Amino acid sequence: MTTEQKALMLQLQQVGLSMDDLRIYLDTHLDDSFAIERFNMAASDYQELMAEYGRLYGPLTQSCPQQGETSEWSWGMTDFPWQY
Amino acid sequence: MWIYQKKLQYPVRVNGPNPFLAQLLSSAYGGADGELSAALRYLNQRYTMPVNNIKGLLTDIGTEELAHLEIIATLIYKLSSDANLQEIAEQGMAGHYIEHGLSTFYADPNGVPWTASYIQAKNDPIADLTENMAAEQKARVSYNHLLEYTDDPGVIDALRFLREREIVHFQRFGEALEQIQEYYACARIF
Repeated sequence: MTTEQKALMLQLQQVGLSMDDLRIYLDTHLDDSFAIERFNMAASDYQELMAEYGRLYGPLTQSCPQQGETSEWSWGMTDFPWQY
Repeated sequence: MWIYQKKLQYPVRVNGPNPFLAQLLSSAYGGADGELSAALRYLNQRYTMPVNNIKGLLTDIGTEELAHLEIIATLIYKLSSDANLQEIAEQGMAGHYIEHGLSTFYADPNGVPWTASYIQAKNDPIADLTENMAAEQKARVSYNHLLEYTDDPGVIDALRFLREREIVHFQRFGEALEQIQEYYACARIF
């Protein structure tokens, strides 16, 4: 994994973790509009980062469309998280 | 259903082989207070939970525990995959190696296999949420014990993260317990 790929993965992990934390906070604080706003901002960033990662390095999730010209199914071909 | 993402919730790095630590970490994998127990306990409690936001909380924490299970598996895999037979024998992992090779397995560091008797479901939100709070505290203590035996900075970092999440989950289950008590208090007024 290149330095650039690692940096993008780290960004995804940071935004993803902030969503995980906000999500369970909101599960017990239903009317905190500030937290909802923060969650929505993170969710929008996350979608962009996921799409960018998929475009550059291959699919991160099962609903990511197959990228590029290759005729080979790429889902299992890129590293799994315990391999990098 | 669940959607898999090819990413860890928190990054994992280790300083080379350490079968001793790999064996101890199976506490958090297949031990009584490990991540498998947590995930299965919370996800199973959802079906009869009467309050919707707490169904959401059990789903979200149960799912996060599956992500923690993957972090632990990654730690174990990385700490054991490059170990040689001598290191495996000298560092107390030979019993595991004979039974499972270098596969991860749902057993505790003593080799006791995971069992559903580690967890409960009582169809009673107060009993279930109270069990969950105790479970988070027991998991926190197990991470403390593991940290006492860890000198690998990457492993320490990951275990501190996981310990922190147990504390956050304890807090959230405590809030859910208060809400369910209010729910029952209101339900009795006609």
